[in-house]
Amino acid sequence: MTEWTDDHARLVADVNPVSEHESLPVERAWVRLSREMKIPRANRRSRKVVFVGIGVALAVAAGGTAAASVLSSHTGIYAKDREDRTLGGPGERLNTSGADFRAVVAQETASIPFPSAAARKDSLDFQVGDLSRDSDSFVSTSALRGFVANDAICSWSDTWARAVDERDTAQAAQAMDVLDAASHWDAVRTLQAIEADRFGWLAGVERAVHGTDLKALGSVLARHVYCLPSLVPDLPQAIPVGASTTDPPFVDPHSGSGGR
Amino acid sequence: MRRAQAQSTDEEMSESAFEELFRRTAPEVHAYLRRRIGAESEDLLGEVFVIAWNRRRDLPRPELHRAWLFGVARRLVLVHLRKQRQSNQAAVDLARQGVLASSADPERDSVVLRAMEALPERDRELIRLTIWEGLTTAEAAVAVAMRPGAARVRLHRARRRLANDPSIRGLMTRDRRPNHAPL
Repeated sequence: MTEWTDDHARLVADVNPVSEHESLPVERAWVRLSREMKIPRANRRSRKVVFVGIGVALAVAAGGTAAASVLSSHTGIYAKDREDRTLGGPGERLNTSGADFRAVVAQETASIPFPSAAARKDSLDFQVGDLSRDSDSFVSTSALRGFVANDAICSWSDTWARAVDERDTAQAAQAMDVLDAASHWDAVRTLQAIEADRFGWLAGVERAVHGTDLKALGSVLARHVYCLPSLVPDLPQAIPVGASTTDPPFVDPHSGSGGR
Repeated sequence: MRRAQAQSTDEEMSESAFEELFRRTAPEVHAYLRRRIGAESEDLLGEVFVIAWNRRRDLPRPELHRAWLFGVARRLVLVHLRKQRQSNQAAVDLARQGVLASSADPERDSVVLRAMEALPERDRELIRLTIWEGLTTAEAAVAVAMRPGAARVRLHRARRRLANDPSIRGLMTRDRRPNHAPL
């Protein structure tokens, strides 16, 4: 049996294809990166349109209630009829300008499982920042839970992808179990009840995971969920083709150039 | 990234600290990416650090930052190669082209590369990370997401397997002979 010696190490070192550092590509990468670092976390596509629209309408309808609720996000206002439930989702309308909005969001979504505290915090940071950009807007607790459920599913998908890559079968099985159970989460079932295909794409997630098909999983998420890049570092296929690997820039709705 | 290795606080790394991390580690990470995927290494370098920036709260303790970045780079390389549907062949070809074009002994280097290709991917990666990238065994373990003890054992076995590859043994015998004849 031959033992490993310095001569062997030298043989391997000699076949190192790159020996010099190139400074120009690194500098270019830094310029691009520093630009990305300055982009604020942004809202995702236009999924909040309905809810913010409803929020403004509710603020008008509620009159003084909105002003009075500045101290707390809890308004005690619920969907008043079927149409309201269908458009805004069932549950209490939370005032996103409330001083306790972050705590309320954390509490309302605490039952949605995340693979790590860091992933939950990423989701919370984004949702709170995104939803509270506009003053006097409201979001239903069910819609809020739906958004966070999306984030959780992205994060578990990423956990599964990483586990597959690392051949960590125990972790992969755990992530698969969570993804299989996602269609039974309260957050999902509540919205499915008013919009049957709201989470229809979950079936595609389950199929992809059971078929160990990373590409299909990424494709389903990219098409239907648009995961936060920070929640899918090991599943870049989940980011739509051509999209930035950071969140898209936020467009100020008051600037006249568009909006949510 | 295992949470056990993560920073225990939710403190975010400042932009200046992140720039310092970039300046200190990006050249090495870039060199690693060039070895694996060549021309597209610059794009992937940006991706590595975008992920690091987005996950700056999750970074492990400072002495493992470099290893963590190599781990991210490695995963991106694997995804990139999968996308290309060329798997390891792309890296091998790249290594061959780069090495053999400038080699003083292309025949010898070709033998070494072939012997390395015969190793399982993770074993080969451990050898490359420790010899080419200069990572410690503990750092290489983080980069390939293994426990340090397991990585040490695996690296030991991989080295022994490589040393006992018949073509490598032949090379060593040849090199010990004065004025060795070509293979």
